[in-house]
Amino acid sequence: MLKTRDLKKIYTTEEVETTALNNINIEVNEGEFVSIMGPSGCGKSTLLNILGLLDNPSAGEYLFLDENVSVFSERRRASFRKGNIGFVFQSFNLIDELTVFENIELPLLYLRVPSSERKKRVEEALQQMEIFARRTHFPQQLSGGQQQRVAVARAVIARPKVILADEPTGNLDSAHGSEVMGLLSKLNEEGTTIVMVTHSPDYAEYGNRVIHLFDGHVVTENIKEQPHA
Amino acid sequence: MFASFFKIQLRNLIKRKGHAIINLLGLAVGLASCLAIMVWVQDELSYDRFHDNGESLYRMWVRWDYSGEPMRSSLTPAVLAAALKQDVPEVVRATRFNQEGKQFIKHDGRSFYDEELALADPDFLDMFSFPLTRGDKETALADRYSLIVTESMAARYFGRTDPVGQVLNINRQDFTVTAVMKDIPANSHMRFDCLAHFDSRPQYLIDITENWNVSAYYTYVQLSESATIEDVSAKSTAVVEQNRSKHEGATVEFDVQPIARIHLHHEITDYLEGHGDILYVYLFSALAVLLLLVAGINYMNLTTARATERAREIGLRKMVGASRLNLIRQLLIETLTTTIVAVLLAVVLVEAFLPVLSDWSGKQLQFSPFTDFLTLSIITAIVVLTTLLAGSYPAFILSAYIPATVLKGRIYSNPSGVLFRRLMVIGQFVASIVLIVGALTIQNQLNYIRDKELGFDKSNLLYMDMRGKFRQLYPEIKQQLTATTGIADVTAGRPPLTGYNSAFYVRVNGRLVPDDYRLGRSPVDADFIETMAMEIIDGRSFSPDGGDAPLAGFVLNETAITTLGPDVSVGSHLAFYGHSNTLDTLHFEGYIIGIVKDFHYRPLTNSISPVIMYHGPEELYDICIRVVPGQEQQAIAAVKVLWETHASEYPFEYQFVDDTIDEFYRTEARLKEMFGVFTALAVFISCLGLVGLASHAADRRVKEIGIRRVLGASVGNIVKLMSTEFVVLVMLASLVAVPAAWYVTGKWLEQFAYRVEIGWGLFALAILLAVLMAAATVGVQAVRAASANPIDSLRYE
Repeated sequence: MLKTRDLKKIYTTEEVETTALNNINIEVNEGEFVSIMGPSGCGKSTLLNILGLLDNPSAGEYLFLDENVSVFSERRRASFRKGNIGFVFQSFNLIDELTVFENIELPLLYLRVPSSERKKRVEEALQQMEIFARRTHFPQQLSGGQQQRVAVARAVIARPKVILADEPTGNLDSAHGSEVMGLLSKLNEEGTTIVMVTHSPDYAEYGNRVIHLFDGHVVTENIKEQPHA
Repeated sequence: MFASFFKIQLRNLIKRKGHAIINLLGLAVGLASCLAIMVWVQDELSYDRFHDNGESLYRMWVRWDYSGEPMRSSLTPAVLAAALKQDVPEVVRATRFNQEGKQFIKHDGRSFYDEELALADPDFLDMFSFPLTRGDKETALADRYSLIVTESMAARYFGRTDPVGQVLNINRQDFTVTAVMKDIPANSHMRFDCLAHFDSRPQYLIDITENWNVSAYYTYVQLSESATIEDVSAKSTAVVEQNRSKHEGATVEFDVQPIARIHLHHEITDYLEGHGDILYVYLFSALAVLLLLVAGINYMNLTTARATERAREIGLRKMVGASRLNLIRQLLIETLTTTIVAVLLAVVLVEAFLPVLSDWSGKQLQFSPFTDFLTLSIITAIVVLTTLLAGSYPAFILSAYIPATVLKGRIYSNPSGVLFRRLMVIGQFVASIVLIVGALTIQNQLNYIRDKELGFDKSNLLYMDMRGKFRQLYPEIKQQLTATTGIADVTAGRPPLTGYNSAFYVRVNGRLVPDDYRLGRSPVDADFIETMAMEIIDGRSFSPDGGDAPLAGFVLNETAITTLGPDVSVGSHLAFYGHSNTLDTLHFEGYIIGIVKDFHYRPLTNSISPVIMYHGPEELYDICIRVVPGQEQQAIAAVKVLWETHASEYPFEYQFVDDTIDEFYRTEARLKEMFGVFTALAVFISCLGLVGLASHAADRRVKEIGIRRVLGASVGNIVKLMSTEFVVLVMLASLVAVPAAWYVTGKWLEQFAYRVEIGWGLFALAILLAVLMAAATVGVQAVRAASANPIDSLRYE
């Protein structure tokens, strides 16, 4: 479903050239839950951003559903993102000025889903994430776990083919962290492809495959025989 | 989708009140200023455009050229109108016209001195659209002593009784009211309360009106549709040449000026009203655009400066599927709503300040933003323009962020954005400095004119029209008043700059002087020159003790001597003709006995004009009283007692010469006030922008400032660090502003014959003001940022 070929990302400032990703070749199949691990600065987030079409590679190819999206313009990437990819971040990245309901609704607005259907789907998601009572609150009024549940709801609301999660548990205590991981696993079981970046070996275990990155290279890929217990 | 935009905008407004207020206030004040100026400009441009025949109505004017310095005047011989109508086929209608000023009117045993009388021919009513509400256009001016009164004059004199058929006595002549006219619109260059037939002038003036060599009246013509200005001009000149006596080496050309141009284009002198000036229309229009720009730049700068805060939201929207077009639309709509709110605020502001504005401009200004189509279209245009101007840059910049960079955390302003904002700040301060220089120049010039050596002493000089027995008893009254405490000197004659007479038909050394030399004729009392404190530079003045016979000698100013020719000096022969039955009759003659140092006879926008003074007891209409400073009230009371004794049937009215002179510069004085206010507003808006930028810079550098403070920087160090950038920008702005201001103010000053030098001091002052204001605005923000406890700013990093 996702496939990279010799993917490179080089950041250039006036004097320094930093290679963030070097010859990355990975493949993610439909329905998989892939964890990406590695120390700080190894390029995990850069890779995830490129996979999520939020950034473009400096060289190499990236095929999304067999289409070479690495040559897309920002305009085409934007329209391709819409409805295909959902994001969950460590810092939740909710819009502070919008309520819980409005934050979750936002992707549907850009997809021009009619208002009545939007309402129905957002309410379903609110129920599913058990935050219905909080729907009129603003992000700052919620706990971290609640915020991340809103973010997950927003990521899935448009029923994307893949969810990209960038340390979704990084800002959460263990109880809330497990809760979010449970949500992601459930989504995966329901058929959504998930790629997750994490520091935590425990949470990485939720995936059925772990990719280790170090200094911009893929060092190992461990395929688990058995998914999580 | 739109609902979501508005929600975000509203919540942003509430969250960042300070920023919102600065942004909205700057925009509203800028728009209000722009609208206010537009109201004024619209009024200026509306002059004389209400006549149905407007397109075909013209005023005659004449270009004289004697010595290579052409003069243009709208004064023509009175006989011109009839001749043009008869001999130039393109002239369909023609009228003589003159405004006679305030007249003494007697009615019901009471006398009044309030109404302005104008004279015209019957064609006048067909040519101009001054509609009659009573009476018949065809017969209203049929008789020599018929009179048309305006509605408000009719109400003052006759109340509810029918004015038609009533008799009013004007200057001892009975006039019968034949019609009532709607009040003259404020935007007409002709202004009067009543209109009489041109031939109602006193018999002794009829000679002058029939003389081709006397140009003292206005002529208006209506041209046929096929007429071309060139044809009419050539044919009119030919008509005049046939009739007028010729002067060697002189060219005289007649031409026509469309009436809609009269108010604003006064390159032709001798105008009727306190005219406008197209230069000021351009100047203020430019000012309006500048204010709009300054306000727009503010909005743009504040919005893009806040981009770093907004960037996260934009990135998130992109992440969840917003296209760039979605975002551009959102940001433009935000600007649009802000602009609309600002415009509504601006409309309220303009409504509130309309009376003040009317007062400044000396007009009854109208502002109907929602009913007047033109005003509404202009407002709409301003909204659209402002939205595009102020909103497009932020919209395109913000929407172009790559989401990944934004979402990583804080993004830093890209160097090109910072450069852009700096350029914009420079632009604002260029405008501010140019405006400050302009305001200071206007101020200086007006003070200069006011304090200029006029060639006579204008201070504490009271003058008034002598009426009734007061005039006959002048010698006794003079004696009585001279003995009164509070009065230093008493003389008679028209003080310079309060009005002038032309010396028609003068021969010097036997040679006829063309009346187009604008030679002034000033009959005065024997001690006039001494009382006015004029300085004799050659010969002598009239002997104040009465040693000279009246009308025997002449005293001229320097300009008169040079104008009349190289052979003229003390001892030259001068003869006045006319004034009796025919102009060819010798009136009186004598020799030049003295020359006075040049004094200003007519207002200062003209050069000094030549004038002949002579002792003429029969022609003394004005008494001039030099009052002892501080004792004005006693002096006036003493004069009033005498007036009540000898002229109680006339109202007691007096004026001070310096007040009259100030009146000439009323347009400029008003201009000064308006310009000053709008300059202050422009500077205010620019400073608002700086407050916004500086506070933003402070927010952005919180961490840097915290670290510097921890490492030992003082509050002063930090303030200096933060203010330097802005002060440097203002200094850079000065580099552009100085030459621009130099050019613009120079152009404005060109119209004055006597003008101030624009010195470096003035530029230095303007720059200093701008730097101080910038430093103060930024400084306050900097002190606030620097005084914060550094631990607070570093704790969360």
